[in-house]
Amino acid sequence: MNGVVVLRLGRHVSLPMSRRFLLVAPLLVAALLVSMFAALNLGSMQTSLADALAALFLPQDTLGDSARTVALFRMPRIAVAVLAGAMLAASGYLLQVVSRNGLADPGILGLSSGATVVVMGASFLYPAMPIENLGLLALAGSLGTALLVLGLGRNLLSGGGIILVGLSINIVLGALIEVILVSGSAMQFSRLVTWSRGTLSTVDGADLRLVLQWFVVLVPALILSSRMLAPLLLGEESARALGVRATAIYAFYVLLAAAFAAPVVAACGPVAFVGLMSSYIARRVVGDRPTEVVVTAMLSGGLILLWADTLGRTLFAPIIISAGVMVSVVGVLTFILAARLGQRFSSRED
Amino acid sequence: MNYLGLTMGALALVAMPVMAQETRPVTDHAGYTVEIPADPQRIVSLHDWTATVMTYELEGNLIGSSGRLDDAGNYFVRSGRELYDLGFDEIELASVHGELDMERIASLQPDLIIGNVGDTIEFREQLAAIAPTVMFDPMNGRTPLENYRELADWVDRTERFEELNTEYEARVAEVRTELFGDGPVPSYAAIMPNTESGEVRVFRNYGAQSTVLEDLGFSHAAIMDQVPETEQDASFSAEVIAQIDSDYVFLTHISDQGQTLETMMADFDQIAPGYRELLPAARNNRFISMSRFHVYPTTFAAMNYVLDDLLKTLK
Repeated sequence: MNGVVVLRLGRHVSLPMSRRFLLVAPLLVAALLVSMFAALNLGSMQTSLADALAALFLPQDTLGDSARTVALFRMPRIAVAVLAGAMLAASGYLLQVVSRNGLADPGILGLSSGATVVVMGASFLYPAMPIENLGLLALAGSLGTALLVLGLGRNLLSGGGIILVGLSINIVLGALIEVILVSGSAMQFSRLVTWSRGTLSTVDGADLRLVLQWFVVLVPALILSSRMLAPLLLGEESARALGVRATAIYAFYVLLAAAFAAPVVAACGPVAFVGLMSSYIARRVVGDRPTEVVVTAMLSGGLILLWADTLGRTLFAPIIISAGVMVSVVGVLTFILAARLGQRFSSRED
Repeated sequence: MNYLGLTMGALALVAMPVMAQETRPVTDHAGYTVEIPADPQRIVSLHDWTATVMTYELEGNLIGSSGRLDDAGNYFVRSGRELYDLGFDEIELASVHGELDMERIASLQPDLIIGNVGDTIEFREQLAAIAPTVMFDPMNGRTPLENYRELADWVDRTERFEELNTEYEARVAEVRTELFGDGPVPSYAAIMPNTESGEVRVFRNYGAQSTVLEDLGFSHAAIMDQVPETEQDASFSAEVIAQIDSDYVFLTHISDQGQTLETMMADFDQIAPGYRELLPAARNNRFISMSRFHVYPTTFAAMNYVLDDLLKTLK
């Protein structure tokens, strides 16, 4: 237990944590808070610190124009960016553990494609469908795809087999998207164009409520069950040898990963790479203890998506670059930086 | 008398804010019933080559519009630049086409926002939090002028619309006489090649271009009736080109992209080889292409542009 500190709360609770996690987690929390506050003050409308503070602490009907803009548009966007980034990170990490493949990501199981097929199919068949229903349809599409992948790959849950099933489903769904696209005119799908790029610009209070509700339910489930992740890292056989019901746990984590990704796809459209990058960063920075990795990944994911969106809406204003596009740019830079930092950490410890 | 005058003046001042806030319900093209100002003073349009140019032409109180970025890095109003020399030195840039910037729109303090069903419906809830928002849909199956008349009502410029419409109808009658006299009016088809899919896009209507042709009494090719009534256009297999026996074929092109009548016809060569011998309009050199950004909006300036072009080409 070298480098591990045990935090004790009374006689019954003891939490072993690595020194590195105890150093990194508060730093990430501080970075996230500072970033959120910075993002609150950045935008195409000139706002003051007082506007940001008023938006945070005063009722909306008492706010002036600038503060109201911050409260109406920036705050939900920032909150959703952080929550969605964290949820994609959690989803990505769970899939990486289940598949024992560091390249797994929510997109790889076809969750994003599933949502896109359902939304586009419904728009094609019912062009007059209210836009408000698209979020729920995306949710149904993501979860439905997860169940389909799980059903087809129930005997291949370990060792990356489920990822192959996910990839296959992804290819089929991609073909379906093409079929739908060539069956209709461009105008039929133009209202989905922004969403399909992966963006936070359409996010409002209702999206924040949707994402927050799922976050509040799923995060405790993840944290409370996270001790079951460690045996899975040893492989299915070893996990069984330790008395773990591996198949049931694999299924549980695949569903949990889908549930983390589904509301994000519904609110922001498909955003790729966050799950992959944040989990990689977390493993490099804090090691392999699952609870520590997942918490670090969630904090990193929140930071990545927040900065991708903030830079996307400010860097080239009045042109707005969608978070989905920016995340690949910001994410890759973060990825390289974190990889170098991780190497430095590792060499110091050695 | 002075007291009476002062009292009336004071009453008028008191009444002004009330009048400014007077609203009325309208049902927009997305089916939403919205309370809008009876006489909007700060209109922001989020679709340049439909709502923006229409509002501008009717002299509505347009203060901002979405725009686009050209290759030289300048923002412009599509069709506004071509038809009215309208640019962002005259009105504010509300957003760049593609992704709306809510903060920028809010900073303009609009009292009416006009969106477009095709591009901005996803943002409707957010826009409605800034100001009353109506959605315009130029492709809802109704005639372009019916839609324009409705927009004129939203921006409280019905009177101006009717004036321009009367002038336009008179000009159409003149041009019809000049071009065809008492003789028969030819037929036309409005189509476009799609080299990516290898299909032909057939238009039920194409903004000012087809509106003017129909108003002049042109009959249209039967294939155009196969486009669903609620759609502006539909894609057909290139084989349908054999059915296009109209006297004229009308196309549009984007000059900025180097397109001309010749490049458009060359695109048809790709998807329907041999059409030049097959189609009467091609054999008789009656393929006509017009600048898309001049003839897509169904404004009176655009329709007059089409009339001018036809006078030049057909006489």
